[in-house]
Amino acid sequence: MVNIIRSLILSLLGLGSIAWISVLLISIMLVGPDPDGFLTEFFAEYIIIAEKVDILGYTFSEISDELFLLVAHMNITLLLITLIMTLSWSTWSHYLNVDAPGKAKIYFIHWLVFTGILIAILLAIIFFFTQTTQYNAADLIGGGGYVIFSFSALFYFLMYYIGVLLGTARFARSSVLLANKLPGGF
Amino acid sequence: MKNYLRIFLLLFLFSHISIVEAKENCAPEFELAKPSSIIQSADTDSSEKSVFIYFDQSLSMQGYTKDQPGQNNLYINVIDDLQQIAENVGTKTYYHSFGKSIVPIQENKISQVIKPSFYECTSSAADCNNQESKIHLPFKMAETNPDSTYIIVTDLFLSSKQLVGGTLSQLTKPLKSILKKGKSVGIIGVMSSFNGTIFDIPTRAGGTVSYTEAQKRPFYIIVIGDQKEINQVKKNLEEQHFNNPEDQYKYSLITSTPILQNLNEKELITENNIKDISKAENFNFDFLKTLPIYKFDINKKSKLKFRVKNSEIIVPGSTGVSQFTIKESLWSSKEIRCKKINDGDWRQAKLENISEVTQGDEELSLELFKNTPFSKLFRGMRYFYVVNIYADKPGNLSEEIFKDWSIRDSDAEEFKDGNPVEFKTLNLTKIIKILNSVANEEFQPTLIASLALNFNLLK
Repeated sequence: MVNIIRSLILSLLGLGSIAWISVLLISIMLVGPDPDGFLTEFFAEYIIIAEKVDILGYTFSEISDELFLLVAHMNITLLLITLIMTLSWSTWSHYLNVDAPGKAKIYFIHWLVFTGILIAILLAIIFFFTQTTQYNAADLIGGGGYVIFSFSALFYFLMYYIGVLLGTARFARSSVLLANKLPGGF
Repeated sequence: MKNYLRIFLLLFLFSHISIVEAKENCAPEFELAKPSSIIQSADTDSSEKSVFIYFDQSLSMQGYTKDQPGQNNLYINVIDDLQQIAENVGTKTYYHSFGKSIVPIQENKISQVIKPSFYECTSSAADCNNQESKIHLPFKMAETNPDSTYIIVTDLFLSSKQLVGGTLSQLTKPLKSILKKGKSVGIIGVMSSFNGTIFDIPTRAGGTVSYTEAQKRPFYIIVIGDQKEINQVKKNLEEQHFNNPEDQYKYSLITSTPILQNLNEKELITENNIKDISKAENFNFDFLKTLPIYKFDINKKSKLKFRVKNSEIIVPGSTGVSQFTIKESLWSSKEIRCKKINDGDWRQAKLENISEVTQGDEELSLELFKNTPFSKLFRGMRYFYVVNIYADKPGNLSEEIFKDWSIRDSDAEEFKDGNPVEFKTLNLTKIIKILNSVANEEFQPTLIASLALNFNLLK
């Protein structure tokens, strides 16, 4: 049990190493970014269909509220899923039956499938928020949609990977890509 | 003092009612397009109207008065009744013949018009009125007294020489003036039996020949006056003479105002003009002054088409309209609840090409949001769209109507050599084209209809 708690703490530390960026982004989005700030400018330039907004007679800052709310909600969901999945793997890794040398490597396949499921869930969530009709603000997302798609998927996968890299049970580390290269202290 | 207070209270109440009305209509501030004036001459009491009838006395007309075995002679029947038809239109009827000049016909001689002798002349050719047919003369008379109705009976057999230069302007000048005054020219072509000689058929060599083998040939009743009177003459002729399916007749109206009416003025636009719109969520149909407003919720995949029957907007038998244009404006508001929308919430879009108007044989259709589909708009907004449909260019429908009764100068000899039983009218299409072009010069873009859509764009 102590080992599991230790794993979870390490996993949380790993997640936290980049999750703070996500938390910060979510907070800013919920509060509403500075209309003249970097984020607003970035969204206006790279994410939304600026021409369409202009044609309808608006500026981006006038109609950005809903889009920022969408991004905040999407990131909260992605963060929660990543957190749950990372901690789940870290816990589960302690229950893997590694009773012979080299057997942990067999569980690489399990990890791969688990990671695949996570990536599929991440992509589905991003799709749900940006491409479906659930949020009206999704209409604002133009060619920059792929930026949101690829950046979010990569970012949360990386967060998960660091989390499982540190949080996987020591005896099962061979099941996680490159985890066995970690120094013994971890 | 009390009076001032009352006035103040009334004004206060009125201004508040106006604001509430605007808010309930949920519309941005905009100016309603003013209906273009559709020039129709002022209604003159028919009891004061005179009708002038002019008979073409040229020798080529004589063949209509002689029966042709096996063929129906509509000329005699129609001319017989023309007097009575003229009396329906006005009170006093004056009869004239025209050829080289206009000559009044005494009342006791009117019956002679359907006799071959009316077209014969025993004097020298120079003194006779049957050697040529100066059709511009009755037009000139119509120009001088436009309040009367003019009926011209002719074979409209005009050579190309008569349709150029000074001779042509003698015809177009009075016509222009007539059309400017809101009058129209109705041409009723009737195929009748013919037993006589057709003179002045142009040859390729430059001369003329005559033809005697024709058994049928069209004659024309040209009516100059108000559209109402022209329609009345046409209706009477249809009811009394063109009953049999084999009776061939054609009708065309030369007018500078081929537009029947503005649909807004009499609030003729209904919810049925846009198919199935009434099934949309939160549908409501109302008028803001004369502007019909369709209010509804819609999703991005929807397609809307506004349809109007041609018969509701185009004068029957006229040139019609060859080009329609639209002027449109779109506003949007982030606030979708009408009660919460303030005037400043509406933003006008910079879109100029939203819908598309097309004209079919039966109807005019406006494909709403065809070029800027709903899918390109943002959801979660309320939109207000106003479109004005204008008739921009007159058409040439009437030229098509008479096409198969027309023969060109250059083809006339060859046509005659084929010994046709049914003889065509020389340069008829050209004449109609000339008349139309004069009418088209007087044509002005006309507002046909205005409508507005007030919608909330959903998923």
